[in-house]
Amino acid sequence: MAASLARLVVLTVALAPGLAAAGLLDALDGGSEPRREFLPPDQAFVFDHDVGADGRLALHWRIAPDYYLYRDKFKLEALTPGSAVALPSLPPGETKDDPEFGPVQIYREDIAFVAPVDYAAGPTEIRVSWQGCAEDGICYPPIKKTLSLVPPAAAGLAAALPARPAASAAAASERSEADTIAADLAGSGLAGIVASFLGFGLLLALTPCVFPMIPILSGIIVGSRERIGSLRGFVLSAVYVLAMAGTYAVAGLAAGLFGRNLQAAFQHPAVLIGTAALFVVLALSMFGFFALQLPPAWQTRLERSSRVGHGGSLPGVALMGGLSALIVGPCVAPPLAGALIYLTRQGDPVTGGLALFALGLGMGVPLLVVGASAGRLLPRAGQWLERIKYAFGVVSLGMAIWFLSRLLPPPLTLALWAMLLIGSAMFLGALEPLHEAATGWQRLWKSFGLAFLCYGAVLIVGAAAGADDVFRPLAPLTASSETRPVGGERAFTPVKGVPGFEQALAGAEAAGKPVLLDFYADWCIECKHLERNTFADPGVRAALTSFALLRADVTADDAADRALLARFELFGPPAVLLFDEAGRELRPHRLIGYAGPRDFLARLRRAYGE
Amino acid sequence: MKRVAQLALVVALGAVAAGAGYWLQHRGAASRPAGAVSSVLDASVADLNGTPRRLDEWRGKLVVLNFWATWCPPCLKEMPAFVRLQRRYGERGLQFVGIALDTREDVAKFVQEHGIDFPILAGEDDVARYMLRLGNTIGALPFTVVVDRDGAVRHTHQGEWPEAEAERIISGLLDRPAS
Repeated sequence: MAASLARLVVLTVALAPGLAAAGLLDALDGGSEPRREFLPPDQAFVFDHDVGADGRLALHWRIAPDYYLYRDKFKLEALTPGSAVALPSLPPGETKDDPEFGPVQIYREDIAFVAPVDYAAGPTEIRVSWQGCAEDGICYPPIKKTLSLVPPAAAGLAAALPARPAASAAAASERSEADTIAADLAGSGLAGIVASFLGFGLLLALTPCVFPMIPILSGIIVGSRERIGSLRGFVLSAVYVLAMAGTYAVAGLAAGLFGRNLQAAFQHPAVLIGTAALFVVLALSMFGFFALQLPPAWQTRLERSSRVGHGGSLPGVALMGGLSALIVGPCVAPPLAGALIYLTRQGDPVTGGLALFALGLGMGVPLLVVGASAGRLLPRAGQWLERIKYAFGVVSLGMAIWFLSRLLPPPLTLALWAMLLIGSAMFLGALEPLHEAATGWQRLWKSFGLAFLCYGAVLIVGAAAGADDVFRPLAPLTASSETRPVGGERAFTPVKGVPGFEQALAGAEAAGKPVLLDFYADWCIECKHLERNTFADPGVRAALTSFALLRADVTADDAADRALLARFELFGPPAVLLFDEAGRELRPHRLIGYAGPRDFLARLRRAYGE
Repeated sequence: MKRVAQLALVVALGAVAAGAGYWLQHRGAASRPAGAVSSVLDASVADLNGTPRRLDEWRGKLVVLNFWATWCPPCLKEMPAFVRLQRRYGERGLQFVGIALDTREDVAKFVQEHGIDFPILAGEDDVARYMLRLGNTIGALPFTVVVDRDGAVRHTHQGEWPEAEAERIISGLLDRPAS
């Protein structure tokens, strides 16, 4: 029975990503794209500018074949009071005979001119606008860009800082996964929204993200003192799922109300510590130190009032359900970010709450199945029941360590993992002699125990040596020229807020470098994985040698950080954004969440078309 | 045997869930059931007096939303064809609605000079956003969307829409009764 359960879980885990990927990827591709025959305006008319040593503003447009710009639609306007800019007399263009407008002057291929600027007020903001059409029958609305110019004397190297206007409607032609979800959702009414989120939830339920919840729920059900039937199991899991959905609903509500960085709020130290403590308590209960239940007085009162029955306490189950929603939060980051972007745009807390509630329900469906089948799918009695309880206890302790790892110094985290492994090894009888008549199972368990023991010992060594990666505990000892070239580690340049970023971007643009912008925070575990596994990978490092590497550390979550996140419509780290040499974001290729070195390299290749 | 049944159950549930999710994601693209689609016309744009008009108001007809502007020559070029089609098929339930990405003054002048006799609305950022929502990701004009009597998008066209093609598609959809 245990074996069949294990096989079942393995099978489901193995199948789920495939099934989910089929649906998700397709959904992310966005089936309803229009025909893409025409270029987005920024590609039809590629604009750049420069400030000469004499302070004059040089403007240049590269026009794609079969596209043209109107001569009389160029406009220049000084936005800074006191400053002025003049549109020079433009060179004559090609005359195009338009049936509606009569003869008009247009430019093809290339147009450049130089405009005098009066910097009376020092740094000056200038708005440039232009307008054009494609030969075969479309026209673009006037395109406006605001440039921040510094008078050359003050600027030293005459570096102009191009201020990029916040995502214009045109920029939306390039969309990342999260955007596509937001766009997909944008077309539906409330009923449609709720149905869509339910569907998303079902899809998410098939990703491995939800699987950490199954042992927790099973633990609650197994942990109850008596045998429970399907009905009881179903009620318990329903409470669990409802609480989980309720937590998401609160997030949706908050997204609708505030549109703030929710993930950051969830990862506040107090929340982390509290959650970790709860997992420890749960683990102790699993190890049989006590039965998890309310004080007898409360319990009787509750029982009298609810009459739902006995076994796992419903409020306890609800609490675990709520916390579980937070556990899988980072794992389902990209779709959740898409959903939240959409909901903050809606600005309607009721829609937000309902939608995410539906999402939670969808994710809970498999859990309901597990719960309802409590009598059959889950083990009932015997020695191995205790073993499974212990296993859940170990998993719970692991969860606690995982939460704490965001707060603790890495070597200390390593030491905790070591303790957990060694403790588990002892309970598996790693150092106890086997009987001659020991069964295969007993030998197998002892092997596992010994493996845990060894790895635990290695972790202790690593912790003492100051290692920070559970999967490479000996890195500080084995550090050779291969893994850590002396001084060869390329550091990220820190950027702060929108102005800091714009400045760094302009610098990279001047140097003709593509840019990688990494959003990072100390509490963001995925960010650390990215740094350790992906950015440290020799292949990735080699691919990034020509890049300007920028890092926005948003740990503080202050106004400047939030402004930068909002600038890119992000909710929080982890996020890695890529920009081409001209400083334009390659939005379809932005990464939200974690990607391993191989995925990341593939992403880079797609983004830069090598 | 029981184990096999359990496995089959889990696999079947997984498949159903994936299928349901897939369907939910795709129905928007292919056939939009009535509940979800009211939203295509669920928008309002000001008319030339500045009064907001809900596009739902033309629901039940075959609505052709034509996005245009006075500064867009190809838009102006196709306009007379749309006026003709409206006159020819109006009685059978065709309703052109022109939505200009332009200033009200310029639009009003043009409409008066050219005798356009179907409703014309105008706006700037709101129109650009609405257009984006309808799938015009590059924001260029003209852009034309055909919405059937049930509120489902049946056809979109970027660029000048040849009169013959427009007529073929419109008359085809007019012949189909509302479901």
